[in-house]
Amino acid sequence: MTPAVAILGRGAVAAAQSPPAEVVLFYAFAGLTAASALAVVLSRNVLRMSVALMFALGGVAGLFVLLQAEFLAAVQLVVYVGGTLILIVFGVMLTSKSPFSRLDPTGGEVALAGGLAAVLLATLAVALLRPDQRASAALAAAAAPAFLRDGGDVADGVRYEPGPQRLTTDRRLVPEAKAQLLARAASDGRRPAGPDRRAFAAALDGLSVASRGLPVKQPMDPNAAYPMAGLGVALLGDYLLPFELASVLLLAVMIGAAFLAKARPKDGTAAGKTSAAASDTLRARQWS
Amino acid sequence: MAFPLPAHLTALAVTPAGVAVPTGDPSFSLRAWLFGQLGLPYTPLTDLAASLLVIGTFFIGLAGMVPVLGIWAERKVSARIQSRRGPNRVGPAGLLQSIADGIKLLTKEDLAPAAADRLLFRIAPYIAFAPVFAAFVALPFGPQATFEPRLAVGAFYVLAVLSVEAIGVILAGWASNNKWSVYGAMREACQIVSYEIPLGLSIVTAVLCAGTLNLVELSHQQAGGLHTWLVFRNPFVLVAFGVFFVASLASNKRAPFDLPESESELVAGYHTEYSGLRFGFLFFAEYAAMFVVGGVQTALFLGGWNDPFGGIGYLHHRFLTDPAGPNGWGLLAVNLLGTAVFVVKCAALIGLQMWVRWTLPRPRIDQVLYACVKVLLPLSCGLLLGAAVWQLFLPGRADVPWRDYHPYDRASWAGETGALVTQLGLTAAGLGVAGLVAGWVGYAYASGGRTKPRLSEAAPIDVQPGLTTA
Repeated sequence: MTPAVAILGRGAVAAAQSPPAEVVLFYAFAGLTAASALAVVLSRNVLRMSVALMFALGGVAGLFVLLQAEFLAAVQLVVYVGGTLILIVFGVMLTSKSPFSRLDPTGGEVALAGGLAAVLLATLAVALLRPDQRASAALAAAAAPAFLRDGGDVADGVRYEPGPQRLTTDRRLVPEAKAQLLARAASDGRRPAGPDRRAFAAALDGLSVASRGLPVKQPMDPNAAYPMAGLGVALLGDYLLPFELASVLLLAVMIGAAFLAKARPKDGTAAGKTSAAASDTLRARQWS
Repeated sequence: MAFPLPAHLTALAVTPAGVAVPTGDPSFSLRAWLFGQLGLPYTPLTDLAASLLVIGTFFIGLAGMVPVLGIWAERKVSARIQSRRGPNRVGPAGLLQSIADGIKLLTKEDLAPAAADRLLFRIAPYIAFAPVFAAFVALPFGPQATFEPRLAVGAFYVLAVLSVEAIGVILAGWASNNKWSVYGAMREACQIVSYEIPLGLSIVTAVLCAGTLNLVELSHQQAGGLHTWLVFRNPFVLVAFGVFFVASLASNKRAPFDLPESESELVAGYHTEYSGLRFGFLFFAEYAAMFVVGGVQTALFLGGWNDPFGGIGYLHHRFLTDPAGPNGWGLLAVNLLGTAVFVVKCAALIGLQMWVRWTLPRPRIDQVLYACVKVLLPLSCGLLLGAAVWQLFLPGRADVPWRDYHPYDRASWAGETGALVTQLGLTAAGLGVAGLVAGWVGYAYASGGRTKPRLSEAAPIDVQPGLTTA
């Protein structure tokens, strides 16, 4: 089986097992994202590029919604579309000399960008086509053992349920419990074998790491919304230090922006000296 | 390293973030019940068909009627304030004037300047309109009358989607290739980027006290009468409501912050070059955004679909937890009543926006930015801090009234006397201020009519030959 057939086959398997509307929407959003990204690369007009980028970002936000990560989708829109993109357009409007600013890359730039894109593509291809990784991508369908799949059966605190997090647990998985689960999965006759066993083990590892963020992991209610409160507690609880470090970085950026925007005298010239005095009084007025 | 949280916060954290509706029969679905009453089979396919029908009639109808009525109301309000009559020729009280204007816009030639970027010029009005349309999804019209009750990021989603609208406006200005339009677009960009921060911070101040971003759940929390509305939860939220109102004027480019289209300096700002249907779309976006922002204000601060006495919330709870099973007809009536209350509250807020627009002069752009960066931004940061400290020492009730406690029963507030006293005091203060304003307006209305008769006799325009209307 060639890698391409393997991917298509897996896509077909996933399509057959998911609700059709979700699959249709997934391909629509994925196609929108890919086409818009292509338009960003191929266009020469900076403003058109930014509009295409907006559609690409919107498509990714749609994919986040399909994954039931509405918070990430909203963040994507606020930060990238509402903030960054407006600033890009703003910068173009303030700095462009010609009516419609064009971007004409040199041959070297094209080669550099193409090389980087090729490296990224190769990395992604290698990562996706490795058998265990490929299986873990389709973990929900293939790698969960049958005894977990039968109607959300409870086995040693680990559950398989349809939803954003397919495997859930009430507590952190100790190594003994993991070994027990693997043994039980190995003795399960209906379980698919081969790379999926490694995928299941990897999923159990990922599960034990992921559940550390929340103080108590609740069983997922299929009708419940994305756990926003858990996200907040994780950010301001276990991950407080990285969160605060990021805020220090943002503070430094803000101070830098204020420093750059402050009126400063030109050094050396007489006009500079008078304007320095003027701007000193201005500054005194501003800061008082 | 786990950070130890206070008890009431950990309790909040482990609550499954579902929708806190009063528990009766949890599997009861008003739509399934309605299908049963109509004798139709309730399958996923018919459910989808019903959704499409609701979206096709109610949703598109609402999103279309809001701008039509809004423009009519705007012209009537402005006429009242300027001692004119406003539209009074087409239909009763000029109600059909907007329809006539719409037909005129439809038949106009769709022009684009020769030097414009035609592609961007053409799609910009749609980019401005579509996000506003999408933002209607998050609004809670009634206890069950919502499009998606499980949208956990409700308020934040509206903020995110409305920020996309700005891109459409900026593109419209830029693609016109007209310096007035570009000035308008640049002002829009400045204004949106800076006013988004106080807007978001005032939302966070309110959300901090409620513990959820879900607008449906927020409305259920405020179901116990005036003193359980979020705006009276603590003093900081009360001020945050004012900050949100001012910032929402700016983000909607409503006067006094309508600098992107200030007609005294920029011809018509970003929409100078637009005509016909595309101009209409830009206008539709503005009025629909007014409704959406009013709806978020209503759901976040002013109790959503609840009446001031908690009647709708109480009846909803009674009908849902009826010992003889959920009362479908009662719930249907409660939902319709709640929708009416919600729309009336939104209309009142839109009226307030219009009143402000036709009363206040327009500041310069540097004054607008000064007001944001040096007044509203520090103020909203301080409010957030104050609300957080308040929440730590004097947490209010973030439960659902009638289910978890009785809002008018002193005993069920045991241990939270501070919260009750705060909410009652703030409610009294709010009612007092509202009464003063109402009295002042009433006095001005009455005395103005008595001492200086205006519009009391036929204006010269009314006695034109061939016209018989008074």
